[in-house]
Amino acid sequence: MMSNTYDSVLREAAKKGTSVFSFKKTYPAYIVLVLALAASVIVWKVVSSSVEASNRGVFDKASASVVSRIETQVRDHEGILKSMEAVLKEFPVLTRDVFELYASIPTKTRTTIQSVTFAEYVTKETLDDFIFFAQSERFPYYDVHPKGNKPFYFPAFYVMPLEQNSKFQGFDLSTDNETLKAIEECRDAKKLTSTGEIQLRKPDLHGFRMFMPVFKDSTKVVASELKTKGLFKGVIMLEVLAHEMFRVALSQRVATDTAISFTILDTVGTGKEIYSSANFKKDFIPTYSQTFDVKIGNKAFNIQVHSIPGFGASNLPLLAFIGSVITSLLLFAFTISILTARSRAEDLAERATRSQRRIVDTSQDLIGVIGIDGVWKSINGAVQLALSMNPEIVVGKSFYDMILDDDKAKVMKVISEAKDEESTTFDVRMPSSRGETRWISWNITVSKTDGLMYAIGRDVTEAKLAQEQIRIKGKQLELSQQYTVEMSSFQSLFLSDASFFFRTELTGIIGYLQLLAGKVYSSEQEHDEYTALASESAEAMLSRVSDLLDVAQTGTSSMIDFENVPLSETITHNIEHALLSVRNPNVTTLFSTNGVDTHLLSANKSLLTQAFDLLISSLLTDVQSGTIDVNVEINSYEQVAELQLLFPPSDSISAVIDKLQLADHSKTLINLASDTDDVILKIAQAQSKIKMQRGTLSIDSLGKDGNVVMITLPAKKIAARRRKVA
Amino acid sequence: MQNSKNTVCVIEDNTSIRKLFVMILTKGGFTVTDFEAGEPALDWIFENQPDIVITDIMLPDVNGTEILTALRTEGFKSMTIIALTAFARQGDQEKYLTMGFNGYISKPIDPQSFVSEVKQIAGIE
Repeated sequence: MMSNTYDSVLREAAKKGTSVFSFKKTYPAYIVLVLALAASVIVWKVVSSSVEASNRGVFDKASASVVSRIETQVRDHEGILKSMEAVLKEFPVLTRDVFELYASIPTKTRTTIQSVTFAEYVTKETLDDFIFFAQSERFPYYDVHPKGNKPFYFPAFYVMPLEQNSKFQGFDLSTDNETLKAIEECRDAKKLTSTGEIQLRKPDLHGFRMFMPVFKDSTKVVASELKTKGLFKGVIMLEVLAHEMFRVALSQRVATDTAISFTILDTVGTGKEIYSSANFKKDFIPTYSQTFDVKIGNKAFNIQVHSIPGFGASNLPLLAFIGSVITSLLLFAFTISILTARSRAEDLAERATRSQRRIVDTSQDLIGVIGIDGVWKSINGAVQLALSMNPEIVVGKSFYDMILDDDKAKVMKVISEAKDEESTTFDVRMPSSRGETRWISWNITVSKTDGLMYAIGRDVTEAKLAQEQIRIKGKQLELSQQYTVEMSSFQSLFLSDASFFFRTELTGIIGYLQLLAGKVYSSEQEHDEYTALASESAEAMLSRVSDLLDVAQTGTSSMIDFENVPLSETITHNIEHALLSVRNPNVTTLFSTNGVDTHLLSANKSLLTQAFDLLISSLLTDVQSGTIDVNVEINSYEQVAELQLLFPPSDSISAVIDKLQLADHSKTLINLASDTDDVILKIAQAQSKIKMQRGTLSIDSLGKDGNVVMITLPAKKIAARRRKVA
Repeated sequence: MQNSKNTVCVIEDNTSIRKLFVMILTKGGFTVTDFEAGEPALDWIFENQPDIVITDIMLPDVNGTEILTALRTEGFKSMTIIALTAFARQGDQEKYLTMGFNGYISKPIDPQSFVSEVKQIAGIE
């Protein structure tokens, strides 16, 4: 929004000013800014670290949860083996019923167990006996397979659940190298061992085989002596479905599972993937990853845990950094503001003062300060314009000394009576250094508190002169009016006196002539007396006639010259001339001049032209178009030309005509007050000019039919040309 | 036939006109006494009480209307007083009659009808 007040403009300019914000004054703010920005970086790093630590914690927690659950599952299965081993130790002889009793529980309660098996160590020599024994254990068709001539065998003897593993019963575990190795390891170390993930039965059935050794006696033997002493009876094997075990281990999901993905690899065998979480992606580079080894028996499988895409993504460090930067900038701005507050205030004050100084200096009014003692303290350049005085010269001068002597006392009185802090106005004359006297209108406010007078002056010389002129013109007009009235009155009086005189003298002339004509005298003496008296009256009249001419010239510089001009041609010319002046091409004229070509008009050409110009311009006011019908006729009896001009209608002119009273000059003068278009003035002037030519002018409104002017002017017939007689 | 009212006082400051009036009225059978000013005429009128007074309005001393007022005030209500004036404007007759004149005659006069006009105003046959 644009500034629209003086104060707001100054404030905005001050804001753009540079001196207040110089580096010298504001360097501490820059130091603050640098420190704050450095702090922002630290904040960013701290927040990043915190977020990192938090994310790591979440990841570790999630990873540990997975590993823990898997380990728990593994321990659980190891526990089964150990329990079975412990149980079988208690029985001197392991029988089918005993095995099946204790093996049935885990197999029924766990979907992860393919089988719990007792694999007996059978030598070549004892093979047949073993088979016989096995068949006596209610396994009538028991046989060791695959067949082979080997020094020993590890046939699966007791197998639970038997129904699912019936074909497995009798299988010689030693035929599988990894299985044999695990068996030998567990026999030798007397510890739980395991294979890696191997194929258990069908190609799609994979799992671990976990082993616990079973010895004939519970006496402790040294491992190196096992083979020679033959105490090793066999192994208890737990076949665990690897995928199912991991599935069951992780079936109870926890919240942290969503943060990670993982894959479980067989590190013993091919290193192939045994199990993966549903969200595991191979071609993804995780933010966090960790590898765990989970032991199963004496083997370990590898759990690779990765953070999921987008894990720990946080805008917090960036936001913290941005917030910190913003705070730094705000702090910088605040510091700048504090540092520059004083400077800005000073700058604003200086600008305001400068600005107001410019206003004062460029003002054409005199603006200054005067001491209570009347001495100028300051004055603006306008004093040069008004009084042709240099401001430097005026300062220190007395205000009163600059006033015209005649006005001094008045000014001193006005100022001395002026109320404190209230302005007083007066007009005085003050001579300029060029010698001319100027009228200055002063508005002065006296401040006793400040000990000063605040003065604003305006050169009103032209206005005063104009006022004076108007006053003079008014008086002249008043006097002219009076002279006119006087002249009119004088002429009226003179004519009245002349009438009286003529009537008196004519009484004598007519009377005595009638007596002489009627021979009403009784003697020659009476006759002569009558003649002399009549002649006396006639002489007196003649001398008075001479006076008439003098009176006719009174008040005018010259008599009006009359000419005999062709009637038709003159009227036509004057009307056309007037129309040209009006410059309205849409107004035309229609002349009807009947038999007027034989007549001359007795008129003053100039007055006639002026009269028609005035008449036509006034009556065509507000007329857009139309025709002026001009009809000219001769009134032979009165020896005048009668002109009738019918103007196009004009409502405004009709209104004027309706209130026009041309015969009453005083009313006409009054109506001039409302004559905005000078219509009345022009018509009155036209009438006067016509009357000066012994004519008459009247005007009437016909409403919608137009406005009609009737003029009469003296006219006479053109004398017939006489043929010269030879 | 002798008129019952036959004494006339003419007051006119113009000598030739006054002589004309005297001559015409005398020939008309009146006994005429003339004055060129109002004051002496009034003195005479008060003393001699003529039947008819014909007075010009514009006189050098007292004017015709003042003579009328003086005479009427003094009780000469039945005296025929005729105004003679060169200011003949519309409404003057009514004005002079309203003032108290018995009639007025405007100049220039018609000598032939002057006497009959005077007789008519004075009510003389």
